[in-house]
Amino acid sequence: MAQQVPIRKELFVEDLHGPRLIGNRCKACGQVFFPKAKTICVNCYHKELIDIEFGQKGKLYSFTTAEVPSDHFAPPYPCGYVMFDNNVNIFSQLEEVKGKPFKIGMEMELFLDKLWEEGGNEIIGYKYKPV
Amino acid sequence: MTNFGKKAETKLSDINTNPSDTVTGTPKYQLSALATDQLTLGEVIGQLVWIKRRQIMREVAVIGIGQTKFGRFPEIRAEQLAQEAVGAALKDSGIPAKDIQVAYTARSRQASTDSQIILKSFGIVDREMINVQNACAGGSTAVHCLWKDIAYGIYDLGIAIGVEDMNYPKDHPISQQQGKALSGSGAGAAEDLEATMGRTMPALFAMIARRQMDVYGATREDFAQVAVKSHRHACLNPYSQFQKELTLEEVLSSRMISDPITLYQCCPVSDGAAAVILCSMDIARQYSSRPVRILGSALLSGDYSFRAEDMTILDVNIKTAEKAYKMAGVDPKDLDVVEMHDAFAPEEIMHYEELGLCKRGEGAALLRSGATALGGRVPVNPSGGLISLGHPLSASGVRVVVDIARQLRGQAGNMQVPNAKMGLAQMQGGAVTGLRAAACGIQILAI
Repeated sequence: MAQQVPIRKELFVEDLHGPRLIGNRCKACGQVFFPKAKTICVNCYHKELIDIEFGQKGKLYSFTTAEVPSDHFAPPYPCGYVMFDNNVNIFSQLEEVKGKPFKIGMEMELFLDKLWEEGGNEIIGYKYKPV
Repeated sequence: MTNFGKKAETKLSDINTNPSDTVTGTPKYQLSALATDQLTLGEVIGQLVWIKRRQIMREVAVIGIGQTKFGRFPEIRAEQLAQEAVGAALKDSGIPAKDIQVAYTARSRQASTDSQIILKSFGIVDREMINVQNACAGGSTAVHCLWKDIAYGIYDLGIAIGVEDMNYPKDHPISQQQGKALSGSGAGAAEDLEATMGRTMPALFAMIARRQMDVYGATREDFAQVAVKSHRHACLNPYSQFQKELTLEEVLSSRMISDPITLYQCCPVSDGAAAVILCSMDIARQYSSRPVRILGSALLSGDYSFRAEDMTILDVNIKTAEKAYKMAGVDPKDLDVVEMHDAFAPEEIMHYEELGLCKRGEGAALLRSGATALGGRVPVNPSGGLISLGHPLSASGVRVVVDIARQLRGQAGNMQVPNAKMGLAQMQGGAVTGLRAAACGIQILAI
């Protein structure tokens, strides 16, 4: 059976409470980072960062349906930016839900899914769909 | 802190320290000559460094311009394209090739030894040569670096070259890789998270366009109108890849690339090269009685997107423009002609606002007014722009300077903006997760 491999380490977790994205927050200025700021707060240069989980629900900031291929995705595929607090917006593949056409500002929900296959492995990442 | 303040005070006689502020632990200093508000010591030093730099800086002139026709030339390699542009620029300048003291060459695909390869056939060797990449702003970067060298007196005369060969014969090994390289993810895509997740360049600008529609009421017709204008202009440009007018209907009904962007709203895959020869003003006057002057040149990398107000505006363009305007001591209203990055049509409307050609949110209205078409108040991309003239990536940042210089000299033929005295050349480059646009270069030219 194909092994499931996350697209990158330390981007998301999933347990009984469902999937969440992993980011971090600066203890001084409060800015949130996704992916995690690696060594210092890149906003205010403070050294203390705390890990946070977020991203289960966000608002659709903008979207498109790509009709040309990208490295890993065959067209047509919907994708967009989902907006969270602290002006953090995250690019993601989107999934259509019947009867809920994409609209800027609509509430979106996180789920984990296979993004593509590579070397016999399933590459797993995050996606969003309308609530 | 106090020592630092006193040290500065003895050096800068017009700085007055305010002791009461020092007591509260937030020392503030006022520079009576400059300040309208309270400035920090750092800001005062910044202002003084700026003034000092302005005293040191020499005026730089564009003395030679050259470019190839842009188009699909799968049989012609970058070296050959660049040599054609360099030859044209040398001929235009009238200077002997041996006088070139320094060279910068930009190329997105490969930049390892391009200057050396291109220039050795002109007898230009054994000099400082630098090969640069900065996505689509690579050409702007080459021009900016050369400008710095001359402005600050390191060299007196040099050449900036931009070249890209993007179309290869079918059986060429690069053609096999090209499908991936040109899927629109941009250079360095393999490491960039958003690009890996499918954020191609057309998708990015489509998402920007969608917000322009949502926030400011821009329409699909507005975006298509940019392409109609560009194609109309390109018909007047002997160097352009496309020389065919398109109707609004043709643009709107062309194949969808990334909703709402259709095929004719996207730049083509182009081959081409451009070169400019810059020199100090005293040398320029020996060759021309009215040399084109570079009043300001600026290059900046993108800031974090969490600091950006909205996606419909790219901060890096605003900040680079402000820097260039300040250096030039001019206002957007002074511009007679603009050449800018319009890889995808909706961008042009956004850049009007970033460069200050109109107020925020009024880009679509400016387009509709006709002000940015040839014959209007401030024609934008009379060359046809990236959409219609073509976009050999790293060549474009040099080409916009060539086009503006040509306009100011009054040598732009059918695409001439009558009586153009001042123009701005802008080129934006790349997209990086968390930063959005990676770079922007701007030069302001005048005659």
